[in-house]
Amino acid sequence: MLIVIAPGRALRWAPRWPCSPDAVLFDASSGDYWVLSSEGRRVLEWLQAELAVERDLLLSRLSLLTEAAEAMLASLGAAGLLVAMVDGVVTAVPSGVAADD
Amino acid sequence: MLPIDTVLHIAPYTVRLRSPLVGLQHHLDTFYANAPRGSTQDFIDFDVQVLPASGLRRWWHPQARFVLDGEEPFFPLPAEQAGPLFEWGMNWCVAQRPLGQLVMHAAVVALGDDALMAPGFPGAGKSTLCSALVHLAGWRLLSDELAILDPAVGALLPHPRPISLKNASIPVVQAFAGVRLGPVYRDTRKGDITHAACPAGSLCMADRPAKVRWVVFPRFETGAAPHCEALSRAEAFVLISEQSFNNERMGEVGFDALCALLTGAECFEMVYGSTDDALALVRQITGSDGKGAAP
Repeated sequence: MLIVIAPGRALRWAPRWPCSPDAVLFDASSGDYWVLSSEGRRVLEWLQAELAVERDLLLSRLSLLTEAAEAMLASLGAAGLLVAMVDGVVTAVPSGVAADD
Repeated sequence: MLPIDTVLHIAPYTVRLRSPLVGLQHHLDTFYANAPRGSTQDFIDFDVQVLPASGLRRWWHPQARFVLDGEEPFFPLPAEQAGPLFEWGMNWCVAQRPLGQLVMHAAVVALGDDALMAPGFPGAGKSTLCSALVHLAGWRLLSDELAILDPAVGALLPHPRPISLKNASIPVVQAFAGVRLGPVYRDTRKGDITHAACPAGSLCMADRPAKVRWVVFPRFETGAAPHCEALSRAEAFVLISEQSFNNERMGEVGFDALCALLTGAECFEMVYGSTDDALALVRQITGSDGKGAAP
């Protein structure tokens, strides 16, 4: 299972402000914005750079316990930022531990 | 009395105003007597008419209608509220019309070219705080209601109009030295309201933008101990976005402009229970008493 940024997004970051651990992310396509934790930012930046990353690899890169990392990916999916791809088909980012890769 | 047909330059906009209503003439005489006038040959940003209602309403409980470019965005109000209707209508024009500027719900005052922007929900005490800073502490008024950010210059544009005061704030501001209030309108949709004239010094500087140095989210609470806390810029971004009228229309340009504004500003929230406390907190935040500020 690959994780990718949701199609149609044109994402822009606010500057890295001092004393602001959270990051503001803006979608120029919709006008929506999100405030992400530093871990959330890392995920989005990896996907902006690499376009698609295997879900397990993504989870392993995060400095979070597996359950917390999965919950974070799921929340980014629920926020409309990420989707999963299985055999070329776009699907929701799974929220459970047992993902069928 | 002749009907009104005038072109007012209310920085940064040019407004053509037409009306036969005497109440509106009094409002203009009280608050816009010194506003620069233009001609109908000028580029008109807002073509406004404040007209009497037709039919029976012309004589029985007469009403005033706000008409912008031939359209009526509001329900009519009693004719004696023509002045407030004009002010509310102007707020609507600035907030809703796409003019290439990011418009946020916030009071703005400045010392020289350094602006303090005070976004806030209705009832947070923006206008009272703004009046106190302008009349008691030497700040200049850019607006008590609308922060207009010009992305091209990265600064807020002055839009000096009368300060709108409601209910309990009226006697508070009335006690300030040098303040000039208009009539009190009773039992409007927002309760009792009146307006305080924009100081002449602020009108003189209406063409001078100011860069935001401080973003302060004020909250008046009766009896509250004064308290001030720094906010992260990300938190401030969210709060300001909630108070923005046209950020969706402004898209990427508005996002970049707001980010640049926040990058150059320190952000705080403050709670206070009196005007003196509010002024002391602002002095603490800005490190200035405002007196003798460079023009």
